[in-house]
Amino acid sequence: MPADLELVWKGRFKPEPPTEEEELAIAKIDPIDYAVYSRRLEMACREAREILKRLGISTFIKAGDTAQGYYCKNGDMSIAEVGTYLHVVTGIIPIKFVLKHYVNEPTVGLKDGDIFFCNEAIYGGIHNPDMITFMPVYSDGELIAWVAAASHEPETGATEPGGMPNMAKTRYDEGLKVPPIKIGENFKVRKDLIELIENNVRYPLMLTNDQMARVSTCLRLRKRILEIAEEKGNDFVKGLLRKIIVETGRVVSERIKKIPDGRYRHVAFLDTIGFAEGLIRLPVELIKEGERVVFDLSRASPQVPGPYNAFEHAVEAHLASNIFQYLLSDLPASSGCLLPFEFRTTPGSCLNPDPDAAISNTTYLCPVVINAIQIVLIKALFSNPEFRKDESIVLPLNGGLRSFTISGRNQWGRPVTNFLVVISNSRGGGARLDKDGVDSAGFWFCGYAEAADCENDESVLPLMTVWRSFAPDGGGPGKFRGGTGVSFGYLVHNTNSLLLTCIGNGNRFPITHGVFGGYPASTRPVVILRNAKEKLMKRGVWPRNDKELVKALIDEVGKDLIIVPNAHPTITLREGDLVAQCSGGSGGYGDVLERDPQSVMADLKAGKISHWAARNVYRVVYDEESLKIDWEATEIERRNERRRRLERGRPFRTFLREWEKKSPPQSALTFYGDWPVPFSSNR
Amino acid sequence: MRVQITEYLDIDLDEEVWLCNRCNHRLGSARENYKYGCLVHERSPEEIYERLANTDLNFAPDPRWCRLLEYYCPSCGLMIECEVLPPGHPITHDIDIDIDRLKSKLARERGTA
Repeated sequence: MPADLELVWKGRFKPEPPTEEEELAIAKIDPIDYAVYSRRLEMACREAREILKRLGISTFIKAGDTAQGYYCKNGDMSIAEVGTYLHVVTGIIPIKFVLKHYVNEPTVGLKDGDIFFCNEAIYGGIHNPDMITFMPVYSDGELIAWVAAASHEPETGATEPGGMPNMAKTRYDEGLKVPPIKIGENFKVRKDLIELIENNVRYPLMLTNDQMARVSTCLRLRKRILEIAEEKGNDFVKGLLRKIIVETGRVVSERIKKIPDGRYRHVAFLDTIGFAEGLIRLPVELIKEGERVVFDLSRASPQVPGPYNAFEHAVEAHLASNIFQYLLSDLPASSGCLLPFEFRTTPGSCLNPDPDAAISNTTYLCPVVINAIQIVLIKALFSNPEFRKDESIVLPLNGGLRSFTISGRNQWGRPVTNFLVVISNSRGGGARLDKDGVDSAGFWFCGYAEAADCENDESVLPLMTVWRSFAPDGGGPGKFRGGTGVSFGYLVHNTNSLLLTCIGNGNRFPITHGVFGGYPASTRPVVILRNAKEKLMKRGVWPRNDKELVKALIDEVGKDLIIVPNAHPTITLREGDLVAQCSGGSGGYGDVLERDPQSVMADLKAGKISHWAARNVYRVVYDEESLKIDWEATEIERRNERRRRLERGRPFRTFLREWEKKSPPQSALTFYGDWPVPFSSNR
Repeated sequence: MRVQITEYLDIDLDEEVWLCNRCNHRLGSARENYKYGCLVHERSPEEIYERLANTDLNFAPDPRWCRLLEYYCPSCGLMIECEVLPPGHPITHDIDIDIDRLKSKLARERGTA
């Protein structure tokens, strides 16, 4: 039986209406019990998160990039806790698949103690490194709920180590893809099925250990909800799970009504498809009418012949991840939050590709779309003063995922494949209505994820951290600056050779944009210095970030100092080589000329911006030694800059006549589709 | 009635015009894109992000792929918005509020309808 595409494509994450039985149960729950027991479920999810984090060994789990939650007996998500919201949303369809296809299937069936597993996007997941383990919960022989635990595993046996291969062209290059299967019965995982998974990956120890960690997490979730069933009865539990969905849905509808009706638009662009560079168009039109919001993404670029595609349900899951952290951050993460939202995509586009498409870098594509969605939401929300008061006006955390996958033998002689999560988990937060973005804020998907200590990486990988520091000029300039990311420098240490796969984007085109005159965050490449140990020791320089490295060894550029894109096929590194990458920054808010000059000096002191930017972008006049501001000269310089703007700016229609004649080089448009608007003839 | 729509833009709903909220300059019909009333400057990203080495790939966006469009108030020189686009890409009509519904909503809230 192939994937149930109808279930994945159409059913998706929205909850079904309450059944008559659930409505009766909801009616019997008094408000105090609702408050107490919904909080108990939330606490149980947090406890489960700690269990998974302590038992798991993948760098993702250690950083807190996990999810655990409770689902109604029909699979609708009731309540979940971070780690990563994205994973919990995607538990819904695998559970519904099991309910639809296996309950009455005599070779599978469903009973207490069953353990299921799935890591397949066309069965409702995101991409195959995301692995979810789920179990039914029975009380007195009755199915009352489901529990699930999910994590990202940086290895799937794909054509390149790490599970997110840049070179993938179809799904068949992406490694292990398991549809929902029963991997255990009577609370025990089957050895033969574990063997099947281990046989398909480069780092079996990690996958098996983390599978068991997810099972343990599910068992604790199960234990806690059964305690409530014991106290209050099965009907109470079923009603409670459904009431959380109904209540959040009601609050979300009220909130959406406060947004002025209209259309709000933004266009983002990617600059890679993994194995090749190219512009990919990702437009968003938010259409708001009454209680309904439609995101029209139908003019995105066509499906690409690399792994930067995303199924429509994955885009919706990413929206969920975003709104749970921003617009609806005060509500339980529940299916009810998704009720008002609809999506439009074009079949054959990169946001609605063929089921055989490579999609393993979906998580590098969708955050760019959702960054654009956050910008249109800011523009839609701003005019209502309530949203300005409640901290809703915040630019998105950087959506340009970047990192390294390292594969080879570590310093203990053991085979290892792992992902430097710390790079993706230290991105800059977006600037806000009244303050700068948070520097090194976290992980776009996962507000609670951590950037693990150097020692965490150095204990399992043959790397030595040379520097970890704020990436100067990483945040978008503005009245309020976008948070900057972190620059990382690693020296290959205690190994003969190591395979490095660079994954990411933001090489030629900015990923995370600003708003209301704020600039986007800058692009940033990967820098590799061969024989770095020898060269740096000889020169007696130990740079503190990638910019200092390039400036100090400018004569080595193009020789032993190589600048490569963030998405790059596997490179072999040798003992003593150095590799540097930056986590991305976020966009700025407002006109740079309104930035307080004292904030500019504070940024200089903290290494968050360069003197070049202070002078040329922020237009502050100061003494470089003492950082003393010349207030009068700064005022004159900023007044002059405003005057220069009036001189160089042209009336819109005059400007448009020249602008419309331009285009990027043809080499940038290989995967773009029809220039300038793909699929425009469909209208 | 005047409503703040962005950090720097208001709409006068009675006259249905966009206004710069720093200097009150009238930017044009609120039923059209406010950008029509702005001065526009196309900028190379290398003027905002420092280019470090003479290499194809650098620490600034590629000016052949990416341009910054700065929209200024024609009266006070405030940068109202900055848009990042590939050269020649259609300009975004980013805020397209349903003016009639906004008027009715605010009138209802103020008890005048």
